[in-house]
Amino acid sequence: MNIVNPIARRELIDILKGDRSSWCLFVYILVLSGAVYGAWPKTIEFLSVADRIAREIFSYFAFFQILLVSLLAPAFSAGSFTREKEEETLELLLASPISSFSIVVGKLQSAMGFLLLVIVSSLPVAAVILPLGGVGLDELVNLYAILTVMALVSATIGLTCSSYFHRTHSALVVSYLFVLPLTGIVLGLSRGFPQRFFADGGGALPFAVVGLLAVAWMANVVSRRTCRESLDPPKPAGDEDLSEQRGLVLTPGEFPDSLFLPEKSAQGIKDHDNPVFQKEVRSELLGSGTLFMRTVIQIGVILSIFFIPSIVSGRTDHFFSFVIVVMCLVSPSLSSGMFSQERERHTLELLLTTTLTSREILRGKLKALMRYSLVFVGFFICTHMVAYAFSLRSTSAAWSSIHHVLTYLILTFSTVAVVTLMAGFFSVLTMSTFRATVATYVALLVLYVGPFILHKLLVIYTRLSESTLLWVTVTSPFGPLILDPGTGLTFGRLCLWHGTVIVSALICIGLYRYLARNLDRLLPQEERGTMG
Amino acid sequence: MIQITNFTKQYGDFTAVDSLNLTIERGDVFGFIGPNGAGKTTTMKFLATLIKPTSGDALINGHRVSEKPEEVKRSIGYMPDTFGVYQGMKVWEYLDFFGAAYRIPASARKSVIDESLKLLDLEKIRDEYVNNLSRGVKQRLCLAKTLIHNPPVLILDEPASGLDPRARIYIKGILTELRKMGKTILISSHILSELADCCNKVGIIERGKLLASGPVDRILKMIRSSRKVRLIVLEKEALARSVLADTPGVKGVAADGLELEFDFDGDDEQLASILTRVVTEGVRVTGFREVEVSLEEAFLRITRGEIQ
Repeated sequence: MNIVNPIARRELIDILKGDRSSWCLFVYILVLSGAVYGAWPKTIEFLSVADRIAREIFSYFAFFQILLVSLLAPAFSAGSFTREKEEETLELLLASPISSFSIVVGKLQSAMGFLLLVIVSSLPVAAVILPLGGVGLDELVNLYAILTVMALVSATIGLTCSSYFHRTHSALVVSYLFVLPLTGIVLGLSRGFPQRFFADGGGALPFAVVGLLAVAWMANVVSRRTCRESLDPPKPAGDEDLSEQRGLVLTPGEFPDSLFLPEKSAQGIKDHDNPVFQKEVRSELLGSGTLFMRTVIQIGVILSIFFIPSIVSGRTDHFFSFVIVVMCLVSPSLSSGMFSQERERHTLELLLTTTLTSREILRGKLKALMRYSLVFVGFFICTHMVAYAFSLRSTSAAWSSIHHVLTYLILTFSTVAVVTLMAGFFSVLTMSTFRATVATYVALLVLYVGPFILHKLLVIYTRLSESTLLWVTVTSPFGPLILDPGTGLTFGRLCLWHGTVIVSALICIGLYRYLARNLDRLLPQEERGTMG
Repeated sequence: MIQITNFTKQYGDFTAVDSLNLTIERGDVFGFIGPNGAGKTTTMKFLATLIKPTSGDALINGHRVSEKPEEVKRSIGYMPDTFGVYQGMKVWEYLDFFGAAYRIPASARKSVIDESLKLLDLEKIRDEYVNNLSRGVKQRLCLAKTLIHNPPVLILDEPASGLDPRARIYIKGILTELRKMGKTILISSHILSELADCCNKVGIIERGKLLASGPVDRILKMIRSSRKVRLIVLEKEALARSVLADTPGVKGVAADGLELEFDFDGDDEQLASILTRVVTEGVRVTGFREVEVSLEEAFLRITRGEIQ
């Protein structure tokens, strides 16, 4: 019997022959090596406390590896079925003699094949830690067992989302919304109880059992769903379907869903309306399926419950950090198809041969997509306002932080604008919705997380104080957010707040100007394939 | 109405269209014919202001494509070869969106939509979702969208491709209606017979060059001017072949056993003298007749350069 099924073989070859796999492997090893190097003691005296230091390095190593594997796994499985749907090859696959369960197993094998390669490639870094002592071989084995199960669980979540959604970027975002909290729990346990989690298998064994059971259940669900899809393909949205799916999808015209999807007007588009905006808000979201939107709202609201105590305890910054993280995760998926989706769907030429100007098209799209993101963020802000109102009643100190709240709101709204325009920029630049989504995530990491790594490095190597170097985080909304709110309105804090808002505004202006001037990039000027 | 002057489009080293000159008069239905990759779509996209030319320009309804693209867009209705539909829209909403995009006032839009739906026989499905429609109906809907702002010029890139025979006949009927309405139409296809009976003029393009253009009758006569003749001999086929090869006006002699086929440019009298000559040389002939060349074969031959 051939263990590797034909689907796994074909998909694994596809993964390995692309640049994406090499870059992932490179970045993975680079981050792990960087983490170990950063934690490595700078003086020779460390030998006396080698055990403790080795444990600390191992803990960093485990933390980054669990985080990276969780981030990578959905990226290699969330497109498993959505790409087949996008390329209209799913029916061909399902019509073949391969059973739906074999297809699911094959897809999972291919993703796991690459992920195992990534995990194993970190062994040389682990080998550097072991000779220090303090960390037993059994702990290392337990860590790799946890990593493998984590990869399997995350990849299966990606695969499950892939079977439910029709677009890869939607499946990817929802996968992350499930995987990231799970990763947070595992990381919390591993950091909180490292001895129990890695040393005696106290964490690894139950985690492996629960994880494998979850994988088996999800694989079964996906397999049955895949089989059903072949027999009963999903119908496009219709009025009757919507009434049947109430609660699962957004319902046009019903509050609060109407904030996303206003009711359609029987009179059509009015003279002063921007037709592109009207098309986007009244048809596009509805047509592309609102299950995605409903899912991300539900998961987001559930996760926000864990941050409500932070509002009452005066740490509004924690809540807003969470809101911005979730928005950065969801918004690119909504906006990265701004123009590329028109191209992929072959409607771009129809749009560009109308008498609408590029700026009108751009404004209509931006207005609609920013509306989605703002309404999405608005759900959380409403939650915040309610919790904040309670805290105002209970503590007088809450009144003094009102200016913080206003600033956080401004930061959140400016971040929405940056993320939307950034996704639009990559939509034009890459001409592919999936590539634009990934590129936006990478750019946001560079812009919002990169400055903190730079800040840390500068603190280490320039010996300047942390507060002096805080200006390097000016591109990130998290810069002003991480400042301790208890310190009040200092000059430095005001500069950083204003600086971040000004930098965000400048980024927005630059991206808008680029988009307004380069919309014709989307047209196939240099493509020979379109000639007739 | 449409005047293309020295239009050239290059993609790197590849020349998609090479110095194309073409004039289409008001009210013409001009069939643009050529195999896949000949440069038809490139030319049409250029006219629709979607691609910039490497050199050359065009005048549509008195507006230069390079200078007044907005006016050109107002004057044309463009239907691309591949197009999609917006999800979550009903048929009337789709037309309402494009009506608004062409700045038709809301007060007039309803009647315009109704007229378009009536012309394209889409009235019954005005409340259907566009993504549920069949390919043929989508083609008709796209044509309705193309007509929504009542443009004097229509640029239709293979509007009947992929349709079943019934839908093709329907599209031909609509073209005839549009012609009666006085529209100037540029329509492309890679099938000559598809356009021969609904166009008054055709142009044949191959590898970016316009090989022939003019009234349909003249082009058909031209491509049929080269005759294919079959000669069947009892023996001495080699001798017959050498006699044919030496005869002026005879080209492309091919032999299959005792049967020989050749192309001949000349009249019936010259054809008779070929037979006399073969017989005089001592070849015993059992058959000599002209082979009917189909429109498709003639088209293939002209695009292969066998007919000048």
